Amino acid sequence: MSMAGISRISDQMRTNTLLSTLQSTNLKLGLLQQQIATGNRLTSPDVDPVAADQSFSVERNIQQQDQLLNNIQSATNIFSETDSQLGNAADTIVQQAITYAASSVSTGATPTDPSLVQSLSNSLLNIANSKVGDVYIFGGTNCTSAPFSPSAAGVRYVGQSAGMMGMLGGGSGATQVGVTGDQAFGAMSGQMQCSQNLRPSMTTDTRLADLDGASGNGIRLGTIVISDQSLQKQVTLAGCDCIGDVIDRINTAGAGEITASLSSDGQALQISSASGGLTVTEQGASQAAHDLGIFRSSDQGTGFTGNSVAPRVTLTTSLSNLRAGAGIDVAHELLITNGGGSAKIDLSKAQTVGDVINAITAANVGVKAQVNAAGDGIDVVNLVSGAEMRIGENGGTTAEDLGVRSFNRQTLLSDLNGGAGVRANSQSTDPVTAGESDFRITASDGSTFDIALGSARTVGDVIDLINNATGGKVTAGLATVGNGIALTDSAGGAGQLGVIATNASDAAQDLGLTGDSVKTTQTTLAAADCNPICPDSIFTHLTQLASALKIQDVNQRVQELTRLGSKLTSDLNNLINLRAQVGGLTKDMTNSQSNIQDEQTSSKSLLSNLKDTDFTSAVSQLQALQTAMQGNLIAASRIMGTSLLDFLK
Amino acid sequence: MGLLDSLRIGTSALLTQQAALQVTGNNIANVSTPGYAREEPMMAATGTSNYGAGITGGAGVKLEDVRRIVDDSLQQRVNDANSQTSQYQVAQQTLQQVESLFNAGTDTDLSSKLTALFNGFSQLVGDSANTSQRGVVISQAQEVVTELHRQAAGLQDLSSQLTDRMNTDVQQVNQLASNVAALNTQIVSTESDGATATSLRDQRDVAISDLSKLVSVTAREQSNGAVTLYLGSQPLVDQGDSRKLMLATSDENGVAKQIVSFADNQGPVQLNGGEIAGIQTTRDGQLAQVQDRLSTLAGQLIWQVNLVHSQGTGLEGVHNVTAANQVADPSAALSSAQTGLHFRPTNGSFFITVTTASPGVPVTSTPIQIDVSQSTSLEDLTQEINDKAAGVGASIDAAGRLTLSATDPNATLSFGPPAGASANTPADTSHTLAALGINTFFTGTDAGSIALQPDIADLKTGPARLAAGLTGAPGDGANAQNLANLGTQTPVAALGNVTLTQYQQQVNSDLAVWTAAARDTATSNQVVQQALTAQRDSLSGVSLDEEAVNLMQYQRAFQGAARFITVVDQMLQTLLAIPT
Repeated sequence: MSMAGISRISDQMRTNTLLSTLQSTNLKLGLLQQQIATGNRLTSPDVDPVAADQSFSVERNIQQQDQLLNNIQSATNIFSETDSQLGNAADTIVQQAITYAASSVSTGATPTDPSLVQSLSNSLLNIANSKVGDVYIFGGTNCTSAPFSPSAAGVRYVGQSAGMMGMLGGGSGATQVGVTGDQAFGAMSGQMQCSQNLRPSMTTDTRLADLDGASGNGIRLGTIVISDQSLQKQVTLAGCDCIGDVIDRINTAGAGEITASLSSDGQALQISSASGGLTVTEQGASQAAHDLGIFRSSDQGTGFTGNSVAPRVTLTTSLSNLRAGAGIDVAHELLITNGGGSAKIDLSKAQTVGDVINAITAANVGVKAQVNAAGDGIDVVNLVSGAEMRIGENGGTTAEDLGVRSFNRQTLLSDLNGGAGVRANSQSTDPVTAGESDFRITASDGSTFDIALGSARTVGDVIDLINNATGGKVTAGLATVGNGIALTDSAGGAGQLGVIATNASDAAQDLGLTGDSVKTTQTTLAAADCNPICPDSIFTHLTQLASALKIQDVNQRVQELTRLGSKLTSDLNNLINLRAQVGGLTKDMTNSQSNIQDEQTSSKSLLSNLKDTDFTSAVSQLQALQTAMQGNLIAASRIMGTSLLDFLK
Repeated sequence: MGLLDSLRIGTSALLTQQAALQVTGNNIANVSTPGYAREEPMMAATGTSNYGAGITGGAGVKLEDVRRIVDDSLQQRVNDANSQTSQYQVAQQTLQQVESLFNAGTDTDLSSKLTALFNGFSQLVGDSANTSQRGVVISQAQEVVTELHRQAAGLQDLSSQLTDRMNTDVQQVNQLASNVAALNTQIVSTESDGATATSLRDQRDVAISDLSKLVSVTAREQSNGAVTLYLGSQPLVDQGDSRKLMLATSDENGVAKQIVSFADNQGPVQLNGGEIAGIQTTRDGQLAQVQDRLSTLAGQLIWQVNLVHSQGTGLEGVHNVTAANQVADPSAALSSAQTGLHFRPTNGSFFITVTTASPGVPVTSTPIQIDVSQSTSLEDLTQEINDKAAGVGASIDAAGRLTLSATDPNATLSFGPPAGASANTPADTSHTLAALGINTFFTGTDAGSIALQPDIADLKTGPARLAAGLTGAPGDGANAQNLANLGTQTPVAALGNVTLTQYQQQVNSDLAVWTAAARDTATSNQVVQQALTAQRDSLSGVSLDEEAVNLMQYQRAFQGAARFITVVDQMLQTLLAIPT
């Protein structure tokens, strides 16, 4: 309070002045006391709003970083256990198995006792079911129960293909923590991958999210411009959910002049114009017309059919819409055998792809069906290592229609017999010269046909070779029930239809045309299904190793052991690679951790600067104020104590 | 002229000095009286004494007037400063109370709790199978709910307290105004015969000064001595009449508020300053803004979390579920306002998956796509679900809530995306599940009504119902990732494209700025008020030293006059003693 403009002091004024200065000093002292007692300069945010705002941000960051460190710690635990178990698997199991195989191959050596291999399998099972705390580390997101479950048929993988994740990066994404049983041990590598393009025809309810789009980028909504000789309209597509919405919007804007509909095969949109001169273009940066396959900047006359928008197969897709509306045979069953169990899958009540997948799952033979990643087919996975999965027909075309028939015309000969392929004599089919043919078919009328596989690559090629050679006397095809090549004799003779190997070729045996599993009648020959689908997992390899060691025939044994030796070597390499990746990720996380900790240190120091009381300055301010207050009181008491009244008699 | 005239001169002196002493005595008596203006006796020479031969002189002294030393325009400025100071002081107090309610910057404030909740979701990404961690997240959410309730209730209480205080102040204003009116009447009648009603005027000044702390008034003195008080441009007190103020309920945007108006014509009152103005501006301005923003935050927290949560899967499905939100008119389109839903569905589709788990048979799941358009009503939706999904029975209960239940006793329902669906597209593009309150996390619409969905809050069922995943696998925390990002990475359009935590921080920062501004303005106004009061006291205040000097002066003058009378008396006696 300044004394400017004051020329007279009254008693009241003196009192008021003293009171107000005392009050303001006391207030400042009170604030300082609070700051010193709590160590916090910002006793309330309004003391310094700018610093308070900054400190809020810093505190939140520190809190979030603490969580990140926590996440990284948990992930590190899992990574380090994963690393050590992968190491165990590589060094003590696979390496040992390779040694057993190698030692049994050298000439004159007695094969290793198969029970030693069995104990390796048991140890591997323990490794594959390792835990950290309550979490099974090799089961993917099925981490609460042991992912590998032994059974009579083999070791079944009950984990997931999706791995466990963690938010380790401070951004919005998550990183995979650990590896799945499939990545480490190949548990889901035995797959019948879809051999048909099942892409369905669309209905008006088909979600835009379920379309891959004409450019493969999904459907990016925007605004398109439809125009013809009579009108030009912008159509905003934002907010459309299904293809029906898009059609409705175009039709509303087109007002009868320009109309949209689904093409006859349901794979694309069809746009038509009543007066001609039709074009469809984009508005601004929109990509919608391109993605919907209807971008046409040149005159399309009275209409066009757009490019395919690649509708995906989803669990809710109706079976009758599959294969662009061709549908599938639901009147017949699928025959699935796996590891000694078999099931007939009845699809007569199935309406959707999901129903088919459920029916296969419910059969409980250790296989799992799923829509493939490309969204154009169904894959069937054999989950049981050591078991052989075969998917065939039961009188109809169901398996082929679904693209899940495990032995079909497109099956590669090199994939047959678990990858062993077909051992053929010659490379050339033309001409069939003596000494080069692989097998001979004898028809019922005694005519014989020599077949050389030569450059045949697929089962279909072999069937065609046989049909071309026999000229109608013996017809080759795929079995109508189950799987395998089926020969039908129509020569009309009285003899037995038969197949024998020639030139010491193993081709017929490898094709299942000869051997114990062949079923013959006088005029038919049903070959064995020599394309079992097994997981190419370490468990399978160990089981096969144990069997190989029991083979009596030395050459066969050596061949098998050599094959398995190279399989186990690639298993070993896979484990080593995974370990390296895991090691790399662990190192990344350690770096990340120390970066975060450094950041936290400087954040905390910034926070301290913003929030903490500077004791030195606070205490000296306190001193100064105290002195001022004392002085004020002394001065006031002196002044108020002097009065003229004291001096009057 | 004669000796008798001289006596009269002496008498006038005695009487006048006596009066002056009395005035001085009155000043001394009132040295501590607040608002007292010191009085000064005005003496003037009077009369004519004729000494003959054209020589004249004065004939004594008279007390012309007792003058109040007061500056009316300075007084008005003091009153204005009082108004301003009170106004900003009440704003400062209120905002400081809000600050201490929020407790921002400590470990227990809303910001920490929100961050802890989103941190909890982040941890769940890698630890989804851990039921006790899920329980921790749920209790963190409960803490957020409790804190929001506390803050909302605290703000509402504060608002009511302000209204109560305003009411009390209005009563006081009415009292003071009628006092001023009564004093006006008395002053007018006292001064009608020429006198000055000094102590009445003092009392009136004090009343007006007190009034100015409550409302900003302008005083205009009329020629008859009455003062007219104006509130803005409207008269409050005129001569002997005063108008009353009252609190009236006004409906603004559907919110009932109490505001000040004139009792006689319900007209609006122009409040330019004073405590009442401060209360009304703060209550309806900054306090209301804070309340509003808190509610917006809570509303978006509920909606955004529910949107994400409703599209995920917990550790297990439910056999039957009833929607949390009622639909007022089941035949009205869900996207329209007639349904009474706070957040509404839009054109899109969602999935219901029926999972059957019979003993010994592997688990199978059947997803069904349900489509919702702009015109779909709740009844249409129920019909569609019953038609499309054989495994689901849908109905509307008596309260207008959708109920879904699995027809097979062994089956459960879930609402996540079908297996193998593209990761980028939401399972529910129509927002129906979140709007109706199915598979949601929070219920409610604002900070006062927010709560956890009952089966999440239930300790037994909650952890399993927390939809941290998208596939139902126990270690799947993909939806927890979406929830975690919601707090810190995803900008929300309805909040102005900032994240939930950023919006909340902004509320606290703005509050700090407002409080600091109110505090600084109050302080600077207080300084001005003190300076003006000091000037007023300097002018009108009593100084005891000064009065002591005056006492001496008038006493000596009295002595002198008495001495003069004695001398004149002796002279008269001398005359009378002359023998005849």
